[in-house]
Formats: sequence, C-alpha cells, structure tokens
Amino acid sequence: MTNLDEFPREDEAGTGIKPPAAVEIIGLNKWYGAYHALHDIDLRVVTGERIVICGPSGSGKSTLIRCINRLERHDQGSISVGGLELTDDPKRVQATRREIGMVFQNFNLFPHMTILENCVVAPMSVKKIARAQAEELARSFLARVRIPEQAKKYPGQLSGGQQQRAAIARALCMSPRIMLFDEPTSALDPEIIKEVLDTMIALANDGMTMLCVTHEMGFARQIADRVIFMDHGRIVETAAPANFFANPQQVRTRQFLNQILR
Amino acid sequence: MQFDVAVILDNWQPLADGFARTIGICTVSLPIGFILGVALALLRLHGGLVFATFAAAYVELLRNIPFLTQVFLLYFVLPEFGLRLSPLVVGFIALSAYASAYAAEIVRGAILSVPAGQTEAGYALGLGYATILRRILLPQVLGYILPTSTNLAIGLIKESAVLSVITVPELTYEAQDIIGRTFSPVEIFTIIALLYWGLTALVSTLTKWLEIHLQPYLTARRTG
Repeated sequence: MTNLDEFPREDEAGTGIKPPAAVEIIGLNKWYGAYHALHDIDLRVVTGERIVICGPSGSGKSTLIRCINRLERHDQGSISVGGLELTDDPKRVQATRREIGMVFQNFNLFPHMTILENCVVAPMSVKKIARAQAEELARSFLARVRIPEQAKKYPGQLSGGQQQRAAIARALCMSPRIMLFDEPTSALDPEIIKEVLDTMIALANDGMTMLCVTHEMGFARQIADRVIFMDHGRIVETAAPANFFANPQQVRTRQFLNQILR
Repeated sequence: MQFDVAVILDNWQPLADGFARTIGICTVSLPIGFILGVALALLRLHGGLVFATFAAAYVELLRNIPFLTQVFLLYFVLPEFGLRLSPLVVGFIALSAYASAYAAEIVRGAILSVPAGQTEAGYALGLGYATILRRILLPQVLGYILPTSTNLAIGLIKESAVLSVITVPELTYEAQDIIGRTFSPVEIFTIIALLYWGLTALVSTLTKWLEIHLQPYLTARRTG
C-alpha cells in the first residue's frame, strides 16, 4: 500500500498541484474464482508518462492493463481514465475505450479486412468519420509506421513485424490519448522485434502516454519514465529505469533481473 | 430388364415440374433456416438463461426426432389441435425448422471458433457488440460455415423427398405418380436419382466457388 509514495515524477517542484492523471488506479483487486490475480494495486499515470511493466508470467501485468480498458472487470477499487471512473455503465466503458488504444501480443488484426479497412472500421463506425477522411487518416498513420505500401493487402500477407505495426497504426487511427501495449514483441522473431520497438520509441518521443507490458529491457532503459515490477498480483517495485536496473531495492526484483539480464 | 428411355421422354413435363418444386422448396427453406439458425445461435450464446435454454431445447428436439416423424406431427397431429395446414405449407415449415436446428449449431460452433482476440480487439477500438458481430465475427464465421453448410444443403435436398408422403408434388411424388400410371420404376427412379445427384453436385460446386470468391483473404498469399 506504499506504492503511492514511490512516484518520483509527481510534484517534483513542490507546488502541491498534481498534474492531471491520465490513469488513476486506487486499491485495485481482482480475483479469478479463488485466485487473487491483482492485489491492492495503486498506480497513477500522468499525461505523457511512459511506463514499462515487467514481471514473471502470471504476475498480473497483462491483467492490470486489460483492466484499464475493461477487457477485464475489476472486483474492488477504482480505475479512472482522464478523470472518468470506470463502472459497469456500457456508455462509460465505450467512452473510455475510445480514449485508449491497445496493441496485443498476437496483433489481433481482422484477417478478412485489408490493412486499410482494419484502420478505418473503428473511426467510421465509432466516430462517424467519412470514408475518404478516415482513409486519408489511415494512410498517414500507415506511413508513420512505415508500411504505406501494405494498405491494400490482407494481414495474412504481411510479416509479423508488419502486422504489429499495422495494429499500432489501427489503434492510432482512433487518436487515443493513452496506448496500452500487451507484450507487443513476444510473438515476433528476434530480428523483427527492433522494427516494432522503433515504432514504439517514435510514438513515445511524440509524447504519447504509454503503458507497456514488455520484457524488452533495452526499450525500458531508453524510453521509460518508470519501470514497474510485478509478482503474484502485486506491484513489488517502482523506479526510474536507471535506479531500477542499477540498484533494485527488492530481493525479488534482483532475482528477476538476474534471470532476464545476462 | 429393359430400360425404356421413351417413358422418361413422354413424362418429362411432370418430372420437370416436380424437380422445379423440389428446387423451389429447398431454395426457400434453406435461407429461412439459416436466418433462424443465426438467431438461435445468438440466443444460445447471449440470450440469458431463459432464451438460451429455449434455443438449446429447440435444437435438441428437432435434431433428435426423425424428419419423417416431424412431418407427420405437423400434418396429422396439428389438425387435432385445430390447425390444418396444406401439404406445401407443412413442407416449408418442416424443412425450414430442420435446417434451422442444424444451422444453429453450425453458426454457434463457428462463432465460438473465432479467436477471442478478435472480439477483444473490437472492444478495445471502442466498437459495440452489434458492430463486432456484423463487421468482425459473422464475416469470418462465413469461412467456417461454408463447408459444413454444403452438407446441410445436401441433407436438406435429400430430406425433401420425404415430403412426398404427405402429397407435396415434388420430384419423388411426381415420380411415384408416373410409376403408378406407367409401371416403369426402373426408368423413373433412375432418372430422379440422377436429377437429385445433379442438383447436389451443383450445390457442392457452387459452395466451393463461393468459398474462393467470398473469402479472398483466405487465398491471398504473401507476395513479399
């Protein structure tokens, strides 16, 4: 329950005024039956902040970010996105999801639609943007993730890295304020990971608020404002990357880093 | 044994009429059955306890009673309760109901076999379930159901012959009528067997064509 004290970025100037929270999670608990998946999670993410969440499998890191856009329903505590608390109200849930883009481990592109169609379906259906305008937007984002020439192809015709970049473009087409990445490079070949990470780094440099579940520690070092280590459904340690890697405070964090950094 | 082609040629008109009615009955019943089937599948998946149980019971009932018995129930038992339907109407209802029960299971299985990530990606983009169903799930479901639907369409065409017992003037009924007049079962049963086979073969070919042309993404290959 001490997590709130550990946020180094907050109120650094000592003005007493907190910056607006992009995501505010207080006292979050989630169970799958008897299994306690998330345990008293407190997390405040300010606008523009880049968070990397790591931890062993089953530690609850994916569940945590999936609670933020309500792909998982939390049992206790509160989650607010842009000041709006997530409840069961479907309108609130949809309003929140509109502000949040998500990138999945398995891309989850719609296989029966071309890449362009994947990108325009939500802007047209949810935001009621005209097709011509939606396509123009989509092409600009496809150019930004450097696959403009793939617009008319089906996902199955693209490499894994291209598919993941298309999925990032699809999420960006909704102009989200926050991007969630759920192990975006775990399904990719090592030599392809870099092209996806480069896309994510470019996004971070543009000031996007990002929560990334990933084990790419080089990426964490390069762009994260904070690294969060989770284990058994709890946040074990939160630190700026320099401290996190050089001077982990918790034994469990040191064990984990010894396992993955070699 | 003789095979007298003249019998077939002399009776081409009732044979053609019967064949046309068989095609007509099946062409109407199959789409109705499929629309009902999609509705039943959705009720079973998302209808809540009451509607899901109703849909499950409906499917079980129709699949577990022989088609001939269902036809008899509609034609001979319903009038006892004051509802007298013409043979043709009974035929349409019975075949549509038969198709709907099988279609419900085909569609339900297909919806369940679309990976959960597809629905999640739709939700994450802010889409509602109705849009996810229409734009994301059902188009992919089409790919899963086309091959199994071919079986259903073929089954339906074959079961339609059963309607001859309640005097629906379809191909088998007309054949029996001709045999009654000409005493030539060899020629007539042979020709209707060929006609049924030709029709079902046509359906198989058509759905194979549909599989390719409705689903360009399944045949599109990596081009680099």
